[in-house]
Amino acid sequence: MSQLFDDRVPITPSTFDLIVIGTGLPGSVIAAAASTAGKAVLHLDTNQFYGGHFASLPLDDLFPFLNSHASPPSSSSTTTTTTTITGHDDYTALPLTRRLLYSDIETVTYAPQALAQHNPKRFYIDLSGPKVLFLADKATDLLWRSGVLPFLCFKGIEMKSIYDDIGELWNVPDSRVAIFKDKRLSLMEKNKLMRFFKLVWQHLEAATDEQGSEGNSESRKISDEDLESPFVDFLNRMELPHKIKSIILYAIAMVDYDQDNLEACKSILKTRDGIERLAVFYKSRLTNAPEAMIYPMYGHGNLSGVISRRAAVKGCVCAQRVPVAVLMDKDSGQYKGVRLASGQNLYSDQLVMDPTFKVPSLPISSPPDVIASPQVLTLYPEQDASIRAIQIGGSSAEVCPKGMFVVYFSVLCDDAKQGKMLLHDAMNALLKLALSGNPYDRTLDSEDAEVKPTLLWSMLYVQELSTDQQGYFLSTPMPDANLDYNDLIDSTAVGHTVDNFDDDGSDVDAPKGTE
Amino acid sequence: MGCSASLPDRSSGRLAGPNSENGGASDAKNLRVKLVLLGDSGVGKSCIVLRFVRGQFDPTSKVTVGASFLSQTIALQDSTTVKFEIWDTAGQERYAALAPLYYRGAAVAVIVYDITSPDSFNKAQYWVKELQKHGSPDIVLALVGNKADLHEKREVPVQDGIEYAEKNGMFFIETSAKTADNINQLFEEIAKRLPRPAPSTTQQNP
Repeated sequence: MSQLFDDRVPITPSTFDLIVIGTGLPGSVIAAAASTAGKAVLHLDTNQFYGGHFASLPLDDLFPFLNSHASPPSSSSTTTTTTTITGHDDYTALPLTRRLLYSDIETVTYAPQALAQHNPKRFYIDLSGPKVLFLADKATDLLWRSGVLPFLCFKGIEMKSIYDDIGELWNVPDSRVAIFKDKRLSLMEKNKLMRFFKLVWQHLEAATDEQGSEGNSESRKISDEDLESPFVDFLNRMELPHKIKSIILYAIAMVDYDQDNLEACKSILKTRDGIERLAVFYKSRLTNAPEAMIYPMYGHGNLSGVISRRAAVKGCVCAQRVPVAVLMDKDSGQYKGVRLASGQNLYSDQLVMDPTFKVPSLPISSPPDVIASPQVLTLYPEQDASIRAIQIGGSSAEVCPKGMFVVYFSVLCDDAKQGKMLLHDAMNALLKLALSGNPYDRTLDSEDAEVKPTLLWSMLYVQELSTDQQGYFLSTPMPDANLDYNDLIDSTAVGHTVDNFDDDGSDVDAPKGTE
Repeated sequence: MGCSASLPDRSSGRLAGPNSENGGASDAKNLRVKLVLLGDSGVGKSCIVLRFVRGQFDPTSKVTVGASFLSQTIALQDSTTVKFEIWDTAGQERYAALAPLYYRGAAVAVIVYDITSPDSFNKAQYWVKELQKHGSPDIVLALVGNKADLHEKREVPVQDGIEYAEKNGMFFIETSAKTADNINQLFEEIAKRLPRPAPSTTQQNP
């Protein structure tokens, strides 16, 4: 849109209650919630797309974006050029610097010819990695309440698998019918699984009843002692066979690390939290929708887009491609507002920023944590950390041309080498590389072999996960390693009025004059 | 286009069909289409919609706030009905912040300019190019010169609009949301130009 919008009109008004820099999911939610609460909000983004680190980008925009937010390979010369722009006024403008989220970007094109047949703009790649929404989770609830659902399209996750010890993909039996039909489970195993689920549902029902204060719910509940114990121990006490335990831990409760070796495990899931996760899954199943998990048709970046749009509908002023500096009072050093590249000053009481921005000289916050239909979800319980994968595409999703798929893999790792090794293993197990350069070239011996999808292109990168440290300014959380958005919404809600997000129906009302 | 959404209807726990699909035609006799309005800030996009949907005109409305989604159904002579799901911009275009998702999946794009503003005519051409690049291939494009009641202040000749529209395979009309001139004609003409689904294919499921 460049030249047409270069003659920018100054933003009006010049004073706001809140300025939000960055249109990532948390920033968009905050802008929408504050606007809905009747606050004057200015929502800025330096990019010309919505979503920041939560965006879904076309293939050809992906590398430039990652690269501009990546730390250089080794020689990390921290160029702290604190050029304070001093104006003729009473403010000091501190240009924002970037915190670099990505590193070790590695792009490989296995089949350039096959890929060249497609417009790179037909692919939408989620920067935040494999993520889904559960029908009964907090993110879906937020979308419901805010009334943005008519502007979104979803695809159900049709199939869910786990990669077992002997290298086979297992369909995860996650419903009564699926358990019943599963041919790989023995009758005894089925009974045990059913009994376990029954126990959990009874517990959940009892917990619900308790809120309505009914007497005899205690007996049906799982004891507090059990709830505080590691979930894996609880499953052992239930005498569940190994493979069923794996399914529950890695494919339903979605734990990050191997739970079988509790001493070495970095994060042990308590029974209470395990049950909580099963509950979200169970409630998502109860909705009668064919799938418990859904994926936004045009990628996760779409969520930030519609929520930003929601903010605009509620009166938020949105502006993109605007480089900004933070304005501080010369004498008191207090935050006053922002200065746009155009030189315009805009003032606000509060500022919320994308986590990748830093204001030089002032210690500021950098909040929490990355990582996203026919589709498979796979986990590798035999390593220390689980690897998650989501496959989207085929005939119906809009994230890639028909007949093709986008597959996301993610794993938590301490260093790039370890992480990439794990991801390469996973890719090798599930995908075939297009070595000949022609993905449609089928050799004879592959005919009766399992047909693996052919990999045409891949990109690996490391995204930093850091935890929230409150500083002078409020920063929004960055994408986390979870499959869902629950933790992210929790951390966004802290200190912000996400409660004010309910749709009051005025979305379909007549336009009103402002100013 | 179509959408195999699987969101449950909250109250009944059943699958919600209607508002989870956009741009998809329901059947050959009852079309449902997503229509987006594009154009410079202040050309009268919301006024056109309000005139069409509610028959109102509010000269004081400045920037669209509070409205983003309206729908209106019209019946054609051949007894088909077309339900327009109209996406207004919510003022996001003012500072170049309109998301592509806004026009993605749209079956119709109405590109509006103000006949008293050559600048708005340039921006209209920018949006046409943008849609040709990123819109659905079979999108129906309409070029609308609004504020036709202000003919004494006209700066964009009718002929310029006609020629540009012809060159780009668009339908062209001049309207006035204020006097309601040509507003219904605009939407009726669009409805006639919509590609009809073949009678045999009932659903858009792949």
